[in-house]
This record gives sequence, structure tokens and C-alpha cells, in this order.
Amino acid sequence: MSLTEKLESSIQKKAEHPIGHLPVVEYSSASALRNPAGLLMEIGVELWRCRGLAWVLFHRDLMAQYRQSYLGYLWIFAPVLTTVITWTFLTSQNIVQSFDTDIPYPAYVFVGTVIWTAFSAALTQPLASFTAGSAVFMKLKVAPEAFILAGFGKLAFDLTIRLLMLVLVCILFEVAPAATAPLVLVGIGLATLLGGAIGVLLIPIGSLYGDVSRIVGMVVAFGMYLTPVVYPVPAAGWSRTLFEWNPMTTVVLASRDWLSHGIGPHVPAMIAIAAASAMLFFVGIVLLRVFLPHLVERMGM
Amino acid sequence: MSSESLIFCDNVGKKFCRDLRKSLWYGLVDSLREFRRRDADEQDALRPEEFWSNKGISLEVERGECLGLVGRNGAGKTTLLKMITGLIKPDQGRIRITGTVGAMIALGAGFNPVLTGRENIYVNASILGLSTRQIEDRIDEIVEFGELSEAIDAPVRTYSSGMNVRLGFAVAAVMVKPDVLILDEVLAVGDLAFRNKCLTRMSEIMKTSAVVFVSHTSPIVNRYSSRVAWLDGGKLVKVGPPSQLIEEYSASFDQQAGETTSQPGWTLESLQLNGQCPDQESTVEWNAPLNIVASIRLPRQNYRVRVKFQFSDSEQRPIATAFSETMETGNSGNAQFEMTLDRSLLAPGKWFLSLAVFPEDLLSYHILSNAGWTFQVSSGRQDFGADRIHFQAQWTQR
Repeated sequence: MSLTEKLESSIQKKAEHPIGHLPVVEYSSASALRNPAGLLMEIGVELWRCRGLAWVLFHRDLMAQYRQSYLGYLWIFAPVLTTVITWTFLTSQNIVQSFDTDIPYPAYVFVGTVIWTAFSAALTQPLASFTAGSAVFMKLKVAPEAFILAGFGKLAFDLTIRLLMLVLVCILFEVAPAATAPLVLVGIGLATLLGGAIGVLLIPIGSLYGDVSRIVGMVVAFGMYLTPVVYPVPAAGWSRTLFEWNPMTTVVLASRDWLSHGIGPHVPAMIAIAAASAMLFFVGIVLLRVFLPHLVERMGM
Repeated sequence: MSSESLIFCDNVGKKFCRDLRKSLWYGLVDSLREFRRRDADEQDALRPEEFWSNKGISLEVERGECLGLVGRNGAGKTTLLKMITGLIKPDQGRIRITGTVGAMIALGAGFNPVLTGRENIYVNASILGLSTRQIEDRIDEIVEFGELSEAIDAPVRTYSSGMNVRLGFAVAAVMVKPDVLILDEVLAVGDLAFRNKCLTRMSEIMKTSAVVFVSHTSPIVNRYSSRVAWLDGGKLVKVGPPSQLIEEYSASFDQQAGETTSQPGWTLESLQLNGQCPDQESTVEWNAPLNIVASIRLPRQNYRVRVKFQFSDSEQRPIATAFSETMETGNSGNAQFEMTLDRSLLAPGKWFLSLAVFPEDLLSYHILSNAGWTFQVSSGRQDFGADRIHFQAQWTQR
């Protein structure tokens, strides 16, 4: 069928399409929250509908990212390796006191860093994806969730590569995995969920004010040292309290236990963190939808 | 409300703030207000630095109808389109849209310069709402329409700007035909041949949609719109048939025109067109003689000058020029320069006339009068279309 024929047939179809069957939307100053069921329905439909677009965007970013680079996938685990090398160097040379860890120290740092990076990348990715996609959805009616989903796709891809590295590191340092080792995946998933939930919640204010992404960057850099990533939880003092209040402490400790010991004492806390993160994530997605027209309006100027 | 209205705007208003800091703050406040403002509670009061970017706009567009939006920059056209597309919310009134909405506002959305044309088609078409299967079905058409078969597997950053817009248009042109179509300034892209192809395709899509489009090109608005809405300062000045409204809109430019600057000692005394001082009412026949005399007072000295008359169309785009050889002014302190055309080929419609008097080296000017005069060209013939110059040709059939 030629192009003109296709057009003609589509014109025919349109003519046969009575107006009564068409969807109707109304825009006014009324809040989207006045009809919560409708809002949730809209979010559900949009998320389902944008999955194809999210996949295409994910694919686009992945290809574009590595096409311009010689070292390619190395950049995914280079930051993790840097942390491991830095801290192994610092402790082995006694510049920093060495820590008593139950698995070889480099492996210990590697596990911690992989989990921490899952959290910190998930924390910064939603706002970064939203900002990068804003050029498109400020002009066209496209679900911004597609860009955020594509960002999570990228996180999942990076994590897969790092997990493969983790397996290599465990073999290299002869870490005997426990039967619960596959649960490390749950730990990483939870770190991503928690980071992602906070990240999505930060989108509205972060898209308006550039300060937010800078503050997040600083908090993430400092937060790593309030989490048992490169050293264990301090035995006492107010720093211990800080560690204990940090949910990522639980996630990292539980994941390390699962890797080399067994189920450990952290399961109830992990379930609580998972529930809270899921709820935060949901609230973030809903708020983003409600605030979106205002963000588009103000970002567009 | 008519039963076939796909676009229905009722007393729509939108506030805007040019102060960036305040605007961001208002964005935050408005976002939080969503919790309080459950129902359409209209915010009439302007906050500091705010103004109405759109106010009291009511209009309807039916299927098969094309509403052209005209107005100066900043008149509120884009704001209105953004509200109709559902990107931003009105502060007052309501908008009802029936059916699917397609927008050709941003061509080539989501293009990544590192990726090839083919890869970018997938991205751009997905953004416009096509599924992968639909894209696969249409990709050959897209490449063919964009005339890009040789370059399609090269990275887009190697494309010329013309190729870039052709690719963008080609994707948008084969998208699923929407019930409501929004077009902003992107109708005519690329070289002349491609522009015509775009316009043809646009008019095909327009047949089945309710269309709103913004363009600064009056002949195009004239040709494609069934009605024209004129926006000024955020308000709807008038809605009416294209030919009449565009004329009124063009007339509103008169107030801007007519700036004359000159060197000390030089003044333009008078200007006569076919023996009369030109004004809105002055009429010249197409294909008839045209005579212009400019009388100038200048310092008592013999200057060697060149004189230029420029004719600009109703949108003040320069179309035709008459440029003299070097002439001498004599040293009487007065000079008259006369230009005669045996037959003026300027097409019927409104014209602006500019005058410039230059020294022989053209490096500066003595007198510069920009679009200082207007006149009308008329003709008994009605078949001229939108082009601004019409030749009187000898036709023979062989």
C-alpha cells in the first residue's frame, strides 16, 4: 500500500469515527487531587503506556554513552575500584588504622561500595533523568516517568556489571559464599529502592532549584562515611548513634551477612525499610504527577 | 458548545512572571496549593511581577477546521498552545479536548547527535507515541520522505541543519493522525522543494483533524486556515475569516513603521507616488507605471549620491529594490530624485516603501527612511495567490 493510499484509508477511518467514542480531557485550575481514583488510574495507564518509550530511551542512552568512549564499560566499575584501591592502600600502609573485618579487607570494601553506589546512584538518577528529559516533555505531552524509568534501567545495567565484578572479587579473595549469598541481590535492590524513593521525592524541588542536586551530592559524599562501607560500625560514641539511625547501615550490614555468613539479625529491619521505601516511592510518583504542570511551566521559562 | 468541537476553550487565563526567582517561588507555592485547592478556584489576583499572558480566551475548533493564530512575539500564542496540549494548567477558565492530540511543536525531540539517523527515528517516533512495530512498518517511508536514504546510517551530528529538520519533519509527518493537531512555526522547513512537500503533507493531515497553528507567514496562514484568531497582549483581539483578519493584523504594524534618520543638514522634504503623497488609501494598479519622486534639502554642495527605493510586503519583508547609479545633487541645496517603472510587477496587496540616500562609496548614509510609506496595489485579476511579484509574460501555445 502506498503512502497516499494509507493516508486515504486513515482519513476514511477518521470520518467513520463518531465523536462520541473519543476520549475527553478537561484542563482547569482544579487540583488533580480532587479525584484521587482518577489520578491513580492516570498514573497507572501512563506508566504502562510509557514502557516502550522507556526501553527505547534506555537503549539510546546506553548506546550514546559508550559510542563516544574507548574504555566503554570500564567506567561502570571504575569508581568502585577506585574506592577499593584507595582504602586498601590507606589501611595497608597504616596511614589509616586497619580494620578487623571477617572477610579480606578489599572484598569487604568492594561489597560495601557496590551496595552504597546502588543507593547513591539511585538517589541522584531520577532528578538527572528528569532534567535531561525536560527539553522533550516541556514541549510535547510525553510522560516524564519514561525518562525516569529509563534512568532506572541504566542503574540496573550498571549494577549487573558490578555484580559480575563482585563475583570475580569473591573468587579472587577466596570469600566463601554462604547459602544466603543470592540474597545480596535483595540488598542491592533495597538500596536502589530507598535511594530511588528519595530521588523521586526530590524531583519537584530539585527541578526548580539547582541547589538541591548540589546538596544531594554533598550529602552522598559524606553519607558514605556514616555507613559501614569502608569500615565497620564504630563500637561506641555518638558516631555509633548516627550509624544506627542510618537505614543504609542496616542494608549494608545485612547484605554482607547474607554474602558470607547467613541470614543474620537484620531481616525485620530490612522488611520495615522495604515497606517504608516502597511507600515513599509511591508518594513521590504521585506528587510528581500532581506538580508536573507547574514544573513544566516554571522550567520552561 | 458545538457538538463537533474537538477543542473548546472557555474564558481561559494564564498568569506569567518574567522574574526568574519569583517565578520559581510561585511554582513551588502553586505546587503546594494543589493540596488545598481541590476545586477549580480561580486565582484572579496577580502577584508581584506577574501579568496575564492569556486572558479571557474563548474559542472552539471543529474537526476539519484550521484555526490560524497570529500575533506579535509575546502575544501569548505559545502559552495558549501549551495549555491546549495539556502541558501547563490554565489559571482561569477551562479547556476541553476531545480525541487524541498530536503536536508538531518540537521537531526532532530527543535526537542524540551521536546516534545514527535510523536510531534517532526510533527515539523520536517513540516520543511521538509510536510503538516499535509501528515504527518498523513506517521506517522506509520516513527515510524516503526525508530524502535521507544515503545518510540514514551516519550519526546525526554529521548532518547539515537542513537534513536535521528534514529527518525531524519526516518522523512527525508519518505519525498516527491525531484528532487534534497543534502546529507551531514548524510548517515550513528545509529548502523550497521540501517545504512544499511538508505543506502538502500538512494539508492532508489537516483534513481530518481540528487544527490550531501558529505561523508568522501570512500567506501560509491565509492559505491553510479556515479562521484566524489574532492575539495581542494575551487577549483575543478578533476571530474571523483569514483574508480580512490578516489585513487588519498587518495594518497594526503601521504604527511601528516610518522611522527616518538623517545626517545633519539633510532632510526629506516630500515624497510623491504617482504624483500624490502616499497613504493607506493610495492605490497603484498592478502592471501599470509607477513613479516616485523624493524631494530633499541638503547642504549647498555638490554631492555624488546613490538612491535606493525598497518595497516590502505587508509583513515588512523586503521583496524588491530599485537602486540608482551615482547621481549628482548640484549645489543649490535642493535635489529631486525621480524613479519610474514602466510596469510595476508588485502583486496586489499592501506594500511598504523605504528610501535611502547613500554617498557614492555606500559606507554611510545621508537619509534613511524605513518603511515610511504605505500604498495598495490592486488588480482586476483575482488569481495571483500568495506570491509577491507577478510577471506579465507573453504566453504562446506551441
